Amino acid sequence: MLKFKNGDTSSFDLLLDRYQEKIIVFAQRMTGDRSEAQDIAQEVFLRVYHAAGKYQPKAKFSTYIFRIARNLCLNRLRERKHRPFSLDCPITTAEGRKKSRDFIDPSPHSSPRAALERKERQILIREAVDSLPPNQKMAVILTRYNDLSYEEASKIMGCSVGAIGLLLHRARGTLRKVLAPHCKG
Amino acid sequence: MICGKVRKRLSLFLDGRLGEKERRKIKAHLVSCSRCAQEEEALSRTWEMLKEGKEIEVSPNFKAQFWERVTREKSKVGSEKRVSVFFPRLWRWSPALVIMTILLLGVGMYFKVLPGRRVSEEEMQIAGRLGLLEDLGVIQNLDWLDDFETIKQR
Repeated sequence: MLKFKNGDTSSFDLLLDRYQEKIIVFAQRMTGDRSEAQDIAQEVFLRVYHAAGKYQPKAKFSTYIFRIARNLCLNRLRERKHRPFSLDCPITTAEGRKKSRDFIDPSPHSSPRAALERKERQILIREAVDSLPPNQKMAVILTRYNDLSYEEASKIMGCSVGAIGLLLHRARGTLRKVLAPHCKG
Repeated sequence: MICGKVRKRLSLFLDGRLGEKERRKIKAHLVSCSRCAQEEEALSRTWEMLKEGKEIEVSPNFKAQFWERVTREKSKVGSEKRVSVFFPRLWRWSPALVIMTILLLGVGMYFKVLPGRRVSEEEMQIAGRLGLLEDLGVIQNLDWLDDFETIKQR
C-alpha cells in the first residue's frame, strides 16, 4: 500500500491479488449473496484506491481493509432491512448465470442422493451461521472463514480480544445445538 | 476442576487461547469426565463442519472490472473538472443566479402580459376633442394628448 501511495501503481495489482478472495469470502458470508459480495469487494478496493494518498500505516493493512469491508457489509445489511427480500429469489453468479440463493454447489462427481444430502447440510450450516446475532456471526466469519486471529478480529470489530472470546464461546454454543445432531461420525 | 468452569473455557481451549497451566488442567478433566469430553467433541465437530462445502469462487473478471471502474470514475472526474474551468465558482453563485433569473422573468412578464393601462375619462375627452379616439390604442399618454391640445388651441 505504501508503494502504491508513493506512485507505484502496479503494486495495487498485488493488493488485489492478495486480498480480493479474502474480502469476497467475508462479504459473501456476511450477506449470503454472491453478486452483492462482488459489488461490496469492488467498492472496498475503490475506497482503498482513492484513500491511498491519506493512508497512514497505523495498523496492519489487512485490519484496515477488513474494517472497510465490515462497514460496507453492515450498511448493506441495514439497507436490506428496509427493502423486501426473498430467500427464494435467484442470485447472479460471477459468470452471469442465475442460480438459487444457496451459493455452494454440490460436487458434480457424487451421486444425486449424496449431492442432495450435501446440499441440505450446506444450507443448514449457512442458516445456522445466519441465525447468529450480527456480532457473533462476524466473529465466526473472521476467525473461522477468514482465519484471522482474535487480535485482528478485535481490531476489525472495534472491541477487546476478550469480547471476541466471549462472542465465539456463545456462537459455538448456539451452533452446537443446531448442528451437532447433523454431524458425521 | 468443576464441569461448569471447564465448559466455559472450552471455546478458548479449542482455539489454543489458554495458558499452559490451564490447558493441562482442562485436558486432565476431559480424560476423567465423559460428559465434558462429549461436549468438547461436539463443539469441535460443529466448528469443523462450518468449513464443509465448496470454496467461494472469485470472479475471473474481478480485477478487470475493478480497473474498468477506476477508469470510468477518472474520466467522470475529469469532465467535471473541465466544466469547472469554464464556469469557475459557478455552483457557489447558483442560488443567487436562480433568484435573479426569476426576478427578471417576473419583471418581463409584468410588462409583457399585463393589459394596457386603462384610459381615463379625461384622456377620452381630450382624444375626442382632437379626433384621435381611433388612435387611442396607440397613443395612450396624457402628456402627449395635452401637448396636441395646446398646439391645436394655438
